[in-house]
Amino acid sequence: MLFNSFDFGLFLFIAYTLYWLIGTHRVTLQNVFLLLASYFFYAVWDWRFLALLISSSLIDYFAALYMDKTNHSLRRKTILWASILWNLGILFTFKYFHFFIENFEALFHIENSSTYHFWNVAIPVGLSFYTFQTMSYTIDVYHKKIKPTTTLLHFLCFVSFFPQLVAGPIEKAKDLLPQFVKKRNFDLKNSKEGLRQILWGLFKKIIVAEKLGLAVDMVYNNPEGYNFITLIFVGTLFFFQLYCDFSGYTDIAIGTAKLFGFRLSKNFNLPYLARSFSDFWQRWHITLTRWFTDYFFIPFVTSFKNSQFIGAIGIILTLTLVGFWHGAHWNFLLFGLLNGIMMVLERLPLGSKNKTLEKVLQTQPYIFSFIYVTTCYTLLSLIFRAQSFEQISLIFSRIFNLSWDGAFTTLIGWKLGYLGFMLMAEIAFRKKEYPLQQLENWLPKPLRWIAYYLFIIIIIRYAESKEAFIYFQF
Amino acid sequence: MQKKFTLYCFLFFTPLLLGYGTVEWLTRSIPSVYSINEKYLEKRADTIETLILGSSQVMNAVNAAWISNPTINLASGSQHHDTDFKLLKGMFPVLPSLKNVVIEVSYSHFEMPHNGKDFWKNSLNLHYYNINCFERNTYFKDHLLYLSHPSFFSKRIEEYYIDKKNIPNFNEYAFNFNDIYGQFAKKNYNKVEIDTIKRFKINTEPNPIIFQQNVSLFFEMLATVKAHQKNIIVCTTPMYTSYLKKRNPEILRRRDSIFEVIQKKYPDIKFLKLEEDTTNYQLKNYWNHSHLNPTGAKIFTKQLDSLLKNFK
Repeated sequence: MLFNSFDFGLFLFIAYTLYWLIGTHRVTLQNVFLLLASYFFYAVWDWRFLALLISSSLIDYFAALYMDKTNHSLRRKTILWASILWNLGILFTFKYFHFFIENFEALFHIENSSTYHFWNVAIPVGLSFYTFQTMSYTIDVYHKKIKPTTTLLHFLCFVSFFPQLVAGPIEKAKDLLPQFVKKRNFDLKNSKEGLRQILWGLFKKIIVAEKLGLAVDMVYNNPEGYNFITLIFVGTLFFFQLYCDFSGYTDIAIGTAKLFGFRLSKNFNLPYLARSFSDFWQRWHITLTRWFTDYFFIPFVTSFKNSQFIGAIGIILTLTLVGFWHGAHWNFLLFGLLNGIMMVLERLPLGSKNKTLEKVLQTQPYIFSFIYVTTCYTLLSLIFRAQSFEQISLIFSRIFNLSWDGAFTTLIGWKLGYLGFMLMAEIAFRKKEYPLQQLENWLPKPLRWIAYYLFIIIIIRYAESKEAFIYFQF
Repeated sequence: MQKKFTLYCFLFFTPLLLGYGTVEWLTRSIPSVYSINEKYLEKRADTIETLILGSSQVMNAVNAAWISNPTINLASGSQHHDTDFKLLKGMFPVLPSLKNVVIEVSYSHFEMPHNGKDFWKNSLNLHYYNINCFERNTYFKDHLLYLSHPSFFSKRIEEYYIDKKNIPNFNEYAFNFNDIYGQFAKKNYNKVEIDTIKRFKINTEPNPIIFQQNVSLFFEMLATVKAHQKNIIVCTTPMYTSYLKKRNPEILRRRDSIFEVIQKKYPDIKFLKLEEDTTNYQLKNYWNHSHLNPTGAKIFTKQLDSLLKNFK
């Protein structure tokens, strides 16, 4: 059930109505309803994987309880690692097993080892998101940063909460779990904000991301037919497609959660305004960066003697893993690795002791850092989107050889204006969570309604048949 | 507070629902291959002897009016074998006189993913042919045509009602004679200009995994037709020379190897392989690189008709 589908709209309408009809004083009943709604939402994707979601939740729930009860350090550690291995195990099995087998076969020139190919199954949707969420819970309980919940219902709700189940934001237990405990009151303002944020998210996804996607797909289906300027341009388009697709999804997720009285974490903060690679990763998929920083980078660096060298290795490893998290393909691995290397290079001393490229970029006029970051991410986006190394090498050879066959075309024509509008709105209202927030404070009701109708008409008018969100595959 | 919000929602969404109703009505009023076929089925379903399935290439290539026995062409743009198969199964009970089934296997049919259960044309198949291609129980939304592909139908509404262009000229067999919007026609069939077109739709990306899945379903489809004791013709439509040159040899080799297997397994299946026919089909017979125009369709349909006559 895609967020940008009629099915989801209908599901949301029914779930929202029933949820508030239950009454705000019946929190447990509301939670039971949310859990059933979330499981239904997940089962519509593929009911077979519901068992995986439930078993993962149960294992982590009991692991956390057991860790809390015992003070025996070895037992606690064993339980923690069992839980982590379970989560990483299912992640590896469903997401990475085939990749490793394929590369193992290629490396050792093994042919016809079809024995392993039976495992070429679909990846359960949201797997990378909910496994990371449950892992963060058990790790936090192990480090005694949080107390485990003793109510199974709360924990099941925390893992499966449908607005963020399939593509995040990856929530920490300390932020989301307590929200299932407390009473949620119906708030008219909150509901309005939720609907507005959903509308903004749909606009970003359906109007901007999907239109950019059509142009990007056209070029990637036939890269040899386009000149180098078009290829560079398409790299930029893909960067914004990815941003609008994922941040659009996140806006819908946050807006939906608001309708049910919940607050989810911010996942994007205008990444296209980043001044450096470090800055970019603090603005892009914030909850994932936070996860890898807290649960991989910091433990890695602190487990060694904290030196600059180890820090650099830690950065490269962390970002390579972030890249690989996106999927079992070499291009994602390369994308992450290059991000890591660039981040390390930015932090290397330049001449005088305290000067680094990162610091220099912070002090220079904004245009320099904008050109630097945009150029780098345009090239990296070309790698991220590619389907194979052959395609990467074809595209880059055409770019660096300045291949000129085929005229330059914007491919999406005037519809590029929607991207301009979206960027202007986001930059102009950058202090708000999303541009339409608190619209009633500066626009009277008739104009507000006209604006909503316009958005809805444009969204419906230009909607394609059915487009999945890019991040659902990760 | 909840009542107030409910009232707001009611007031806000009522005009939207009314607007949607209008757009849906406008969509249904535009003549299409589907609506013409629906009428044809209503009138002639009992007598139809030949069923043609395939993608836009076959839709453009066959005018059932030029075939000797009663024929219906259910080919449609982007229609893959999985949809063909569902239509076929759905049509068996509707077409009691059915004798022949024509199935298209284009150059890259086997290497491209199936339409799947979410294909937007499933709503059209459900509404006009009453065939459920969704592989699930349907509900009211599945009957809403505009919602199945809003951007496509918005464009069609604008073209049909406002711009008055791209108006189809269908005969009762849902064949569109209007070819003035063809890519080659727009270039006045100027060979020099047409040969400079570098970009056109062609799949050159081999996909062995998809190939395996598609071939498996294709043989299942053949077996089903055979089980119903119908004659089968497997066809390929002519392609313009630039298209032929751009084909990926690996995709082509795999497709042709399947033809050989079919011939061995079902010797009575007939083939109409015209993909590389550059003798009968000239530049002026094409709509674009991979589709025939009505003049090309006339030649193709006659060749198909001759083959169909061999079954008698």
